[in-house]
Amino acid sequence: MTVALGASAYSVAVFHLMTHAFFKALLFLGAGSVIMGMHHNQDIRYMGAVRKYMPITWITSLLGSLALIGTPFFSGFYSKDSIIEAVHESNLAAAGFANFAVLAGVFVTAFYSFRMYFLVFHGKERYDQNPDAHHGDHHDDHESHSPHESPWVVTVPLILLAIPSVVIGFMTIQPMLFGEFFKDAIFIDAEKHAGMKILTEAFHGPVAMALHAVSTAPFWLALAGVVVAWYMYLINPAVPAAMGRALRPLVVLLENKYYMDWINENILARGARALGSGLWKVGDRTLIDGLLVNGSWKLVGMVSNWTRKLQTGYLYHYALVMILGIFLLMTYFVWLNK
Amino acid sequence: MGMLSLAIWTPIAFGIVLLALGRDEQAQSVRWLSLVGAIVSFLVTLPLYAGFKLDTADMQFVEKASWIERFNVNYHLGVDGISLWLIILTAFINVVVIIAGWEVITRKVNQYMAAFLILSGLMIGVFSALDGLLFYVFFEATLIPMYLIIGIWGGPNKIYAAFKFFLYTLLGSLLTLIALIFLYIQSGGSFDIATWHELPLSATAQNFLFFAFFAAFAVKVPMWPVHTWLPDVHVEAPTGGSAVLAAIMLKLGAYGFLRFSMPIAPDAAHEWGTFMIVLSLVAVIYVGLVAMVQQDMKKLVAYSSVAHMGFVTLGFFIFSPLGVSGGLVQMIAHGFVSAGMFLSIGVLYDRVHSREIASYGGVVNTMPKFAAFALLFAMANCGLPGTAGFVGEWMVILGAVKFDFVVGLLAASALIFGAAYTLWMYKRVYLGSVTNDDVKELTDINAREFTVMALLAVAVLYMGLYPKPFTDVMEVSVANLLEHVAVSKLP
Repeated sequence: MTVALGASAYSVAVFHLMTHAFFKALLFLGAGSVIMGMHHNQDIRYMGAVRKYMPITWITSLLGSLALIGTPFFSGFYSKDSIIEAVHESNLAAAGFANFAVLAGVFVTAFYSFRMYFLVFHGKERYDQNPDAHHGDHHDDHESHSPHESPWVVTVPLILLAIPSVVIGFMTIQPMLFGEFFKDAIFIDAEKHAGMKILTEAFHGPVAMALHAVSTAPFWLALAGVVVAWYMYLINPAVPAAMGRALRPLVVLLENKYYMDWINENILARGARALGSGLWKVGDRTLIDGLLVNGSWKLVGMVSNWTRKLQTGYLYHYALVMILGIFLLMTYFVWLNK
Repeated sequence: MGMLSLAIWTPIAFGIVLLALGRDEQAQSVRWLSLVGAIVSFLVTLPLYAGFKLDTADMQFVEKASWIERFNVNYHLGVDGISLWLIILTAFINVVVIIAGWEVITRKVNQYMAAFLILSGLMIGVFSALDGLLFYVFFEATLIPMYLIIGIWGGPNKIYAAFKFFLYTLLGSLLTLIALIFLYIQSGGSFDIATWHELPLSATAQNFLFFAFFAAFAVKVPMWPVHTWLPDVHVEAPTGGSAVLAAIMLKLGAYGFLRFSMPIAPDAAHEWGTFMIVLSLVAVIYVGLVAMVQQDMKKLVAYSSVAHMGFVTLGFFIFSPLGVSGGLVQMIAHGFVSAGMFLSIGVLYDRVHSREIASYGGVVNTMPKFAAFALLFAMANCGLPGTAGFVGEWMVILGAVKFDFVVGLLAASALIFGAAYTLWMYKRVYLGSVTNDDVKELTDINAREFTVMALLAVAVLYMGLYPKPFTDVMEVSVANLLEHVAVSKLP
């Protein structure tokens, strides 16, 4: 979506936001349905063959995944393909890199979506391999580990979201991108950003767009992603395992999210606490309260302690001081102040 | 008797009756009488809002009678858009703390209740006084009931706290007395604040006055670096005392800046504006960081009060309508929110007798209703949109960004600290699993505590969702004040 904004294809960005809302909501609810069906296990390594137990969740998730990877005629196809086209036509400096990035993204998206899809819904059942599942106490039937389809409150929304995930792009691409939907709400300087103009000229209806896509790179990249996922996770799981070993440092870096959490926790949060603690102990307690506030009453106490010693109440002390005073004054006036 | 006199003297009269007649044997009737007194005192402030004219910056509901003729001191009262909501807030918080102290206080109940009623009347007096000496009398008189509240019903270290509170604030305000006498002489024998507003003054005189007032008001707000009395006092004060202290007493200082420092010494206020902004920013950032590392909940909220009041003074000294109104809104909002925060701590303290964050954990499991209220106040304390805390902070930050981008950026960054210390405390006290037996045996809030929380929660949400009644009242008076402050008074 932000790529589309970068290419000044604002209507495409909003269009993608809308199609994405349907299929991503569908996928999240599908995931939730699977997690409920799997008795609150959400580790896809310990799923598999769920399609047999949760048919509605299976079909709707498949539709959502197909929409997500941009299968022609699905809603995601129309918005994603338009974005790719817009970037392709853009003449901005970084458009070449963006073009490469979105194409690579197509492959990666297809790969990871279908990795999840295959691991969850196909393959062998791996429910009893989960080391954590046996001491889970939030489900009643400890005997049965097999999943179950979710109740209607879950499946009905899944179906309702699956319908637009499939058809909404087909139905609305014409008015939203090339029609009057936005009217004057969006302004594009066609001189500088010709992308939308070229897109409009090339558009000959949603059917033609989908058929044409079969001969373009994104379609084949997406297909390749699906096939690679299928091969690696259903046919030959040794491949990803070997890759994981070979790229161990990279895996560790990514598993730790580039150590961003560590930096947050240990440098930013700990630093802020250390700073606060320093300001409090040194600034507030030692300097302001210790030195100035309590220091001033101690000073007052000291001065009064001192002056109190002068007020002895003994007449001979006062007389002595008086004589000394007279002596000093006379010395001053008689000898020094000539 | 005028409406303002009624608002001042009704609670004081009830307080005196309670002092004279109340005995601990009849504690229950004493409580009911105090509640009736507080509610009546609150109701008599409502006609002030109903009858308030929004389109004028003049003083309204003015009352004037000669008091000390020899020195031309008058009993002169009035409200404008700056003071109106503070008066209503004072009377409202008074009702809340009377209910909050219901079963908690069992010793000298009549004196406790009377102290709060009298304090409330005196603070309304501060907000409505138009005569300098009358203001000073009310301003200083508020120290006495608060001193007693801390010193009698406070925690183990109450005497130290009460003395610190009294001496710290008195020291500041004595300079103010000299400033008032100076103004009396300069103006040729008048204690009328409005006359002082028009009085031409040399730059030296203005600087002297600005810092004399600063000594009193900055301690009261409190601004960094004269804030260290507040955490100590809050820790020792009883819950109701903390609530009134944070909700109203701090506002006396901020109000003083608007009524005295800025209009009487506008040139000095401009000259020292940067100084004030820097102090305010130190308050929001430095104190925000200090709040984060506190182990004691009351200390944490006390430091958060200092940070929030930093927003108020920041708003004032950027000299823009947004900033000053924002500061005023923040004052009202902080009144509701800090009262809610302190009363929440009080609810826990009454049950477990500890204010340490480490003594709690997982309170939500045993006190779900209470935890929900506490979450609302915590969210308001970090300035979540939709709560009272957001409105003022947002206005001040907007004003600050317009004034100077860096100032705005620093002020806005303080919001992160606000969220960090408040939510971190919330997480450690309320969330997670039950950590000890004390928490396991907690019982949820009863009907009385629910009433207290609900009153404040409604106020917090109402102000957050619909702040118009608050800002409408302020608009004309703030504009008038800024117009006045923009004009140099140098002769």
